[in-house]
Amino acid sequence: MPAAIAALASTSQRSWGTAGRMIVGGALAVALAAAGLTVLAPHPFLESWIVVLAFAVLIGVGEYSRFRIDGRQLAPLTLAAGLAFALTSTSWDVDLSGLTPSPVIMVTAGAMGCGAVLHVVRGRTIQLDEMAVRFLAICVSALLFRSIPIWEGRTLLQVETGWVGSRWLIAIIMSAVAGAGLVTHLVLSALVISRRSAGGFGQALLEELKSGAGLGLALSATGALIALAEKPLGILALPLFLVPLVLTQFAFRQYAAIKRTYAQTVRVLSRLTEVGGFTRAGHSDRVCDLCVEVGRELGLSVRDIRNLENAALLHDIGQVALRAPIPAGATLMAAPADQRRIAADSALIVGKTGLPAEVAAAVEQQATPFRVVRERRQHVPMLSRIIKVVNAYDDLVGGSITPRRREAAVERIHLGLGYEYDPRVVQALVRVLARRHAKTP
Amino acid sequence: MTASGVSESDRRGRGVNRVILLTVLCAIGMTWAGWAYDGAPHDYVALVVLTVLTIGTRVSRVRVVERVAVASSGIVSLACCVLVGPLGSALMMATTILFERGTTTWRARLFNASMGSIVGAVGGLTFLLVGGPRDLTGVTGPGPLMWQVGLPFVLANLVFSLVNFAVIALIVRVDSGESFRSVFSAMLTTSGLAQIGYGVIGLLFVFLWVPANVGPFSAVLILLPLFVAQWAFVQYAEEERSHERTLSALVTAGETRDPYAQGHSTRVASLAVQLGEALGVSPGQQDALRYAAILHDTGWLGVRARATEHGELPDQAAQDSIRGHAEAGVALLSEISFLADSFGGIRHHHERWDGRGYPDGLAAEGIPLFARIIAVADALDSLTRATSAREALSTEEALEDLRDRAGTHLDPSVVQALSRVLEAHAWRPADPDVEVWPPQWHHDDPTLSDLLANVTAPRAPAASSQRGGAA
Repeated sequence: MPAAIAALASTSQRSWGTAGRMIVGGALAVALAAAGLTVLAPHPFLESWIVVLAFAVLIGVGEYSRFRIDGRQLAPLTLAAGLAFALTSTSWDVDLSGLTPSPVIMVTAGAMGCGAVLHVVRGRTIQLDEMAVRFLAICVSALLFRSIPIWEGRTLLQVETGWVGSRWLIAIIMSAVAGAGLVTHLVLSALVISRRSAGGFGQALLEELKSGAGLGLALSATGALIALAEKPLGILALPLFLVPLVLTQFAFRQYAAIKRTYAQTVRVLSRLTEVGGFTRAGHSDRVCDLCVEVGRELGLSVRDIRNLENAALLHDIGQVALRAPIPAGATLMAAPADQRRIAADSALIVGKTGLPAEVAAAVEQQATPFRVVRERRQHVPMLSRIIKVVNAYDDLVGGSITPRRREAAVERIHLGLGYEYDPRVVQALVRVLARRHAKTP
Repeated sequence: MTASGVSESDRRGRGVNRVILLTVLCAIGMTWAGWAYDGAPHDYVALVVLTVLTIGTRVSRVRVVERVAVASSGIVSLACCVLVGPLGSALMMATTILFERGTTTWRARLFNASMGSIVGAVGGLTFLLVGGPRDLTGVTGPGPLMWQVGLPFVLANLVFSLVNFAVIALIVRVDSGESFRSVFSAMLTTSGLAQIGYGVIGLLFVFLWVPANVGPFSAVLILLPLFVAQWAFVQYAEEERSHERTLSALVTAGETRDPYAQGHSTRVASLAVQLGEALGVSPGQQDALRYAAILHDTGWLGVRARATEHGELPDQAAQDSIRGHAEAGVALLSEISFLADSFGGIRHHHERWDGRGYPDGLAAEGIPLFARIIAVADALDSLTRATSAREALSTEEALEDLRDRAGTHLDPSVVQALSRVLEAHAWRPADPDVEVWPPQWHHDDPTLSDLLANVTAPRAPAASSQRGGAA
């Protein structure tokens, strides 16, 4: 089945960075090594085939029922079942304490591969880097629990098997081992993501921690739960103890779905001015894309970026109130009083959308010149300053793609440096443009 | 489980006091029965841990924890029946309910605490009576655990819930006069399902505590995933609220564009929903109808409005933009997937029963029901509003006008439903003091629909040519 993964590599459409490629490569190497070790040193793991099969099925189902949220792919069932597999020593009358990590890892890889193949067969794309991160997290827990002698020369598995009396300490140890797997997950995810933002690894890790800690705790608890309950209950523990997690997964899927429709509605709102003939086609989208890049260049947090994205999409929506469209919808050419009125109207409408208050505030201040920050020490949100610069740039370029037009636009913005525009934002814009057009001259 | 017990606003009544007295006596009786049958609590450590845990979730002011409190108290109390026995769980329920927030009168607390100890004792006794073991330590293996512990647990959960619902239904019956049966069956259908879920998780709790020998630490392992699920549900609810508001932003954008349309969408939407109820639109489809009615004029944002004199047929360009707006609305909203069921209502809300409307010239039943409903609501709102060319009609006059239009312009069955709806709910027309429509046509004016119907217009191309400059 590692071969299956290799075959699938070509189906992923996203290009990964070096980190992503290394992680996928590492995962493949681990899977191959595990398969090799299992074949070379045959272990009678086929005797416990019912338990192994039960885990394999759940891991595969988990991979198949993955879902996206905030651009990330999650498969909580896979992780929980995989971690439980890694931590299992006895499943009622089946003894798995002799099972080395390699068969566990090999079976996990195979099951995940099958789930992914099902996706490919149904014409959906898979993300190998996120799959590899999940897989490696399970591997870390399996190795930590089954083969590394941490406890006075014994592995935790041996400690667990020989334990008599109340097992709360075992429960804590198991949760911790599952937790270590999830920390690996967090760090590797941050590595993959940090390539997508300019904030660097530290910031990416912080964001991952904020968004993933809750689910991570639930997952490590569930992994330990199943492994503990299997001792008296056998494989019956798997479906029973996954009930709370299925509930969690259901809640997250609903959350993801409503987030998506929300995003669709905001997109439609952003196009109102174009369809009504007030702004040039694609203006909101272009400003949004460029704003996000400039925001990343300035190292804004994920939350700020999300607000910036929405504010940029909706920054011109107040123009729908205009009796007659302003020329080409370019607010840059409008009188300052009109610019402010459009900004105020836009903020009014944005205020009704239920988006965070920062978004409306960013839209409202988009026409404020930078000099009030310097001269009157007035607070103008960073998001507004970014929108002001990027909006001016897009109005000046006017949808044209000739390098001359671009240079002229940047030159014109430089004239207003410090007076109209925040110099830091302009510098970031220049860097982003240089990068962008270095690739496509 | 005690949420619908007694609250402060209850009418004083001897009946209520009598029921409370009865409940207290029953509680004392059941607790005694539990002690007589089973003796002292099985496990004092479990009793203390579960009590502290439940009080902890009850007094917490963290919002997610608050919501989990109901669920976790359901789960923990069921587990308690088995782990600690009838006497212990009666005591635990009575103690923790005293810490409940929201009920402040001593009568309410007394009632809730008594009810808690009754169900606690009943749950514990049922488990033992149907053959559940007093000591679970010897039971191991999937078969024995399911038959000797799982099955009695399910039965205990059943009796526990039924008694709980019955006591609540009794006090509601005495207090507000609602029939016992309707309250009881309402609780069965709403809380019953949740109770099954609590049962499953409560059973896991028991399995983990004794057979898997994890003890009190089980609470952490079991409740952690629940907290996370609850957190996600809270996020979901918040996101959904914001999402509803986004739709109102679309309406605001339209009203900012055309101040004369202020409130129009909302009025049409509330009337359309009432008409939908009268016409038997299923509850699942009511949301789609409401969305369609709120957003039916969104297309005006995509069509250049043109002034036209009232009383005469508008010029060709204005006609085109009027004919185009319904389609433009759908084109604008087409990306929003959850509106898919509403598009028919938006696209066809200016079709006519006689087939001479726009944009597609559909007739009679060929027009989607939502569109026929919106057409009637739209016309009523237009007629009951003044323009500078005519006075606003009273609701009766407008209804008369619409009756004349049934069968030509409008669907007779919807107009009939309108008469019924207007008997039940008074129509609140646009505020006449705000602003009067200018002397131009407003596209909703039914007379304009007649004028346009007499012009043979080129159907599809007329609409698409005007969809706005940028498309």
